[in-house]
Amino acid sequence: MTRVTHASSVVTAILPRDSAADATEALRDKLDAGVLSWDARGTLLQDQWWKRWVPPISPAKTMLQLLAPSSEVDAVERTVIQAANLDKQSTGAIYSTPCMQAFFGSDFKAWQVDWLTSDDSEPVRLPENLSAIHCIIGHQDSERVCKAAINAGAHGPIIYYSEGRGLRDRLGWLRITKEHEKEVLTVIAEEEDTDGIFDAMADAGSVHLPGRGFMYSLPIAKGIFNLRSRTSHHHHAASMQQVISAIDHLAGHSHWRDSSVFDAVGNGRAAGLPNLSPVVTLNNQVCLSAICHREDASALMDLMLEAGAPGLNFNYARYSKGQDKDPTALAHLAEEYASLRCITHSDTAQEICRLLERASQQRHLTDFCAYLVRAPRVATYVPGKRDYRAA
Amino acid sequence: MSDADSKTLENPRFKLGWQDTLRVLWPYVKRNFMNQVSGIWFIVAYLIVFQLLVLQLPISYALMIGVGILVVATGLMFFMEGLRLGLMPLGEEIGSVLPRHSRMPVILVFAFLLGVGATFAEPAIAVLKSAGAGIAPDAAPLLYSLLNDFSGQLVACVGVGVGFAVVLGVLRFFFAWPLKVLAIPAVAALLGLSFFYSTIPVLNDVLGLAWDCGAVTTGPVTVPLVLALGIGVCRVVSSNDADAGNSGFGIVTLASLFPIVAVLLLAGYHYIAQDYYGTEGYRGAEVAAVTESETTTTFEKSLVPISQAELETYLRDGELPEGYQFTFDGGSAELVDGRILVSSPTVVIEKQYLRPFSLVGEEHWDDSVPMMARWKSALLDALRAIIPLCNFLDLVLRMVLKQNLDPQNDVGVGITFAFIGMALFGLGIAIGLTPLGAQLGSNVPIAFAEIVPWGLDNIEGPLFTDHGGKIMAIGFAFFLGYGATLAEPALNALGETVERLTVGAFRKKLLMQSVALGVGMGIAAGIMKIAYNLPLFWLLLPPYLLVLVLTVKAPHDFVNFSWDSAGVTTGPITVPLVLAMGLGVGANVPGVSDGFGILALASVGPILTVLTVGLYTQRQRRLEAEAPQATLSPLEELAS
Repeated sequence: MTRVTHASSVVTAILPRDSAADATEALRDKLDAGVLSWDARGTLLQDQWWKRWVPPISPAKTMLQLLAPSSEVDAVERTVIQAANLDKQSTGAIYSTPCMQAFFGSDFKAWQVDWLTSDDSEPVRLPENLSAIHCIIGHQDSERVCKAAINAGAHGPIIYYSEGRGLRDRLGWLRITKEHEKEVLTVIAEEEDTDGIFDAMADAGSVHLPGRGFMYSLPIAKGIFNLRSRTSHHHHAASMQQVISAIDHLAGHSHWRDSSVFDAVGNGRAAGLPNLSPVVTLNNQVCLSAICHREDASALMDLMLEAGAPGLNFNYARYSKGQDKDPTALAHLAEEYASLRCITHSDTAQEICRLLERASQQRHLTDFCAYLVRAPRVATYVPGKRDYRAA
Repeated sequence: MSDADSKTLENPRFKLGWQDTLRVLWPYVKRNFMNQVSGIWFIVAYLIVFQLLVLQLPISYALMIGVGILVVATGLMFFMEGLRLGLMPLGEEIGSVLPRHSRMPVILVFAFLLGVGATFAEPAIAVLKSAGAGIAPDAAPLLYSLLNDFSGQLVACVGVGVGFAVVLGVLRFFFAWPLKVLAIPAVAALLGLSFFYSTIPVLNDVLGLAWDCGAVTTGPVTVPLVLALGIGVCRVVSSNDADAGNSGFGIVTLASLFPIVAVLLLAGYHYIAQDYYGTEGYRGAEVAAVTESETTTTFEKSLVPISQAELETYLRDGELPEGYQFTFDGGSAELVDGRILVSSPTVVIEKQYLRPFSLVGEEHWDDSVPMMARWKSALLDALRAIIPLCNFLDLVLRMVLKQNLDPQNDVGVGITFAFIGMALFGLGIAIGLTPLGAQLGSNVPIAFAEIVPWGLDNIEGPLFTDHGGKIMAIGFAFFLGYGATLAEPALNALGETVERLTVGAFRKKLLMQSVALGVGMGIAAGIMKIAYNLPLFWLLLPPYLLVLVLTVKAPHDFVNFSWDSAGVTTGPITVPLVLAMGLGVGANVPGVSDGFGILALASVGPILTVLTVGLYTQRQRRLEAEAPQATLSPLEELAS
C-alpha cells in the first residue's frame, strides 16, 4: 500500500566534494540516514583579465538530497552544517523545502522516514527568507544565464545535468535531433532578490521562446547559503556577499536591495507600478518529484506521462546509505536512483498522484516515492494564449 | 504485467509534414556539421597556406582534396553522432550491467576478449609498416623481421597487451587502485627496459616500433567504447575513496603502455632465439638486396634548352629569354689600368626553368587509383572496425547478461550512423587529407634540401640554410600536430566524456587545446629526432621523467584525464600527415631510414600539458581554500 504523509520536507545541500563526503558520513553516523547525491559544478567569474581567455575550470560540487519528516529537518540541517562548516565563507548551502504531500510506495526504503526524534531538539536558527530558482536550459545558453543571474545579484549558479522526456518521445525518429541532456541551474536567493534574479535569468535564456527552457522557483522553509560567485584579487578585503550582508546588518533590513522600489540612477521603475516582465508566468503550478530505482525509472516515467504529465526531466543519483563496511567484499555495488521532476498544474499533479497510487501495484512499481512542492513562479513557452496543459 | 499494460505512452506523436521535418532536421544537421568544420578548418587552412605562401608550391589535385575534406566533415558528423547515440550508450549499458549480473571471472574474460577484439578491429600494423617502409634489412635486421616475418606475432602481442590492459583497468575500478600506482611503476619499468635495449644496437632499432605500438593501438572506435564501458562499471561499483580511480578513465592509458611491454618482450625473445633476419636461425625468405634507396639519387638543377626562336629574338633585339644565367669560362685575365680585363672568354647563356606561380597544380584529380577501390576499402575498414565489436557486445548483453536495451535508446540508429560516418571518414581521408598532407609533408624538406616536390617534375632548391630549414620544418611540425589533433574524433569523444563526467566543470575545449599543444610539442620533437638523427631513448627519457614527477604531484582526476589523452591523440588524421612528413624529412637526412618514434613522442606531450593544467588547478583550489574563512555575518551565526 502507498503511504501518504503531509509533514515531510526535502532537504538539499550543495557542498564541495570533500565536505560532501564528510556530511554523508555524519548523516549516516548521527541520524542513520541515507542520502541521494549527484555531481554538480559551481560557477565562478574570474576577475583577472587574462583568465577570460582561458576556459574556466569550475569548482566541483556535490548535491545531497534527502526527504525527512518536517520535525527532523532541524536535526538534519544542524548535522550537515556542522560537518561541512557551512557557517564559513563560500563553503556551500543547505535548505529545506516543505512538501504539500508525499507518497511512498510500499517497498520504498531509500530514505528512512521513521526516525526516532533525536534527543537534543534544540532548533537551528537559520534565515527563513530564502527561495530557490531552478532553470532548465540547453548547454549553449547556460553561460549567458549564469552571468545574468550573477549580475542580478545572485551567487554563481550551481549546475547539474538532467535528461528530458516528453517532447522527445513525441517526435518519433526525429528524437535523435534533440540533445537529451540539459543543464539545470540552481540559484538560492533571498526573497527580496528572487523576482529580479528570476526575471533576469528568464530574459537571458529567452525561456518564453519554444524549446528554450523552463524555469520555476520553489519556496524554502529555512536555509543558509554561502556560495561565492567570483574569484577576486587577493587584496580585496571582503567579498561582495560580505559587503551586502554587512549593509543588511547595519540597516537592519534588506529592503534597500529591492531596486524595483527605488533606483538612484533613474533607470528603475517608480514604486507601485507593475513589473513589466516579458516572461509569461503560470499560476497554481506545483513541482511533482519522484524517486525510484534506475531500472524502474522508464516504467515510472511512462506511467506519469500517460497520466498527463506534460514533460519530465530526470537525473540519476547515487544512493549512499550507511552500509557496514565489509572488508572482505571486493567492491561495494552502488544503488542508483532516478530523480524525476515535472512542473504542472496542481490539478494535473493530483491526478497523476492518484493514478500512481492506483496503478503502481499492477506495474510492480513499489519502490518509489513522490512528493509535491508548490511552485510559486513558473516561466516557459506557452503556445498562443492557451495553456497547453489545459487539455 | 500484460502486454497492453507495457504499451508505451499514449502521448500522441506529432504529425509532422515534410516542411516541419526539415525545420527540425536542419538546425540539427547544421549544428553538427559546423561542429566538425570548426574542428578541421585549422589544419586544412594551415596546410594550404603553408604550401602556397611559405613553400610557394601549387596544390596538386585541388578538386579531389576539396571534395575529400567535405566528405571528411560529413563523415565525422555522422560518426560523432553515432558515438553519442550508439556506441557510448551500448558500452555504458554493458559496463553497468556486468558487475551486477556476473561473477568476476566472467567479467575478466569479457574484458580480455574486448581488448583483443579491439586491436584486431583497428589494426595498427598498416600504419607501422608504412612508418618502416624504407627499412633496409641489413641496417636494422630485427626490426625488419618483426615487421615482415613476424608481423602476425606482432599484432597478436599487441592484442594480448591490450587485453591484459583492459583486464587490469577493470580490476582497478573494482579495487579502486589509483592510476598513479599502476602507471608510475609501469613507465619506470618501461624506461628501464628501454635503457637496457638502447645499449644493444640490434634491439635499439626496435625501441621506436615498440613505443609507437603503444600510441597507435587505440583508435576512434575503441576509445569511446572502452571509456563508456569504464564509466558504466564505475557508475555501479562505488569505492569509498572517490578520488582514487573511480571515474571510468585509465583503461586507455594501460592499453597504450602494455603493448609497448609486449612488443619489447617479443623483440627480446627473438633476439635471444636468434631467428631474425641475418642470423643462423632465420627461416624467412632471404630478400634480394633492397633496391637502391631513392634518397641517394642526386639531382641537378633542371635546365631548359633555349629554342631557336629565342636565339633569333636575342640576335635581333638583344633580349635574353626569361630566367637566363651567365657562366663564363676560359679567357686570359690581365691587369689593365688598375682593372682586371678578361679577354675572349666563352660565355654560356643558359635558361633556368622558371615555374610559374599558381595556386593549384595542373592535375585536379588523381586518376591513378579508381574510386571504386577506395570506396570498397573505406567500407571494409569501417565494417571491420565497428560491426564485429558491436555484435560481440550485443551478444554478450543478450546471451550472457540476458538484458535488452532500453528501446528509448537509439543504439541501432547510432551504430548505423557510426558505420556510415566511419566509411565516409575513411574515404575522405584517403582522397582529401592524405594527398594534401602527403604532398605538404614531403615538400617540407625543401626548406633545407633539394628535392622534387610532390606532384611536380622539377627540382626546387633549399629555401633556407641547413639549420634554418630544419628549424622551420620543426616549427611546421608543431602546428601540424596541433591542428591535426584538434580534428581527431577519439579526442573529441574523450573531451565530451570528460565534460559530461565533470558536469561541465572541465571544458572539452580546455582539454582539447592543452592536448593539442602537447601533441604539437611532441611531434616537433619527433621531427627534430629525425632531422638530426637523435637517439630516441634520450628524447623519451627527459619528458617521461618529468611526467613521472608531475604525476606524483597532480590530483587524481587529472592524472586520469591526462594519461588517457595520451592514448587517444594519434588517430586516423594525425598519423598519415605526420608519417608523410617524418618519412619526407628522414629521406633527406643521411642515416635515417624509418619514421618511428614520432608517434611515441607525440603521446608524451599531452600528458605533460594536461598534468600542468592539473597542477595549476590544484594550486588555484588551494589558494581558494586558504582564503580568509570569515563568518558571514552575525545575523546568520548559528546556535550550535
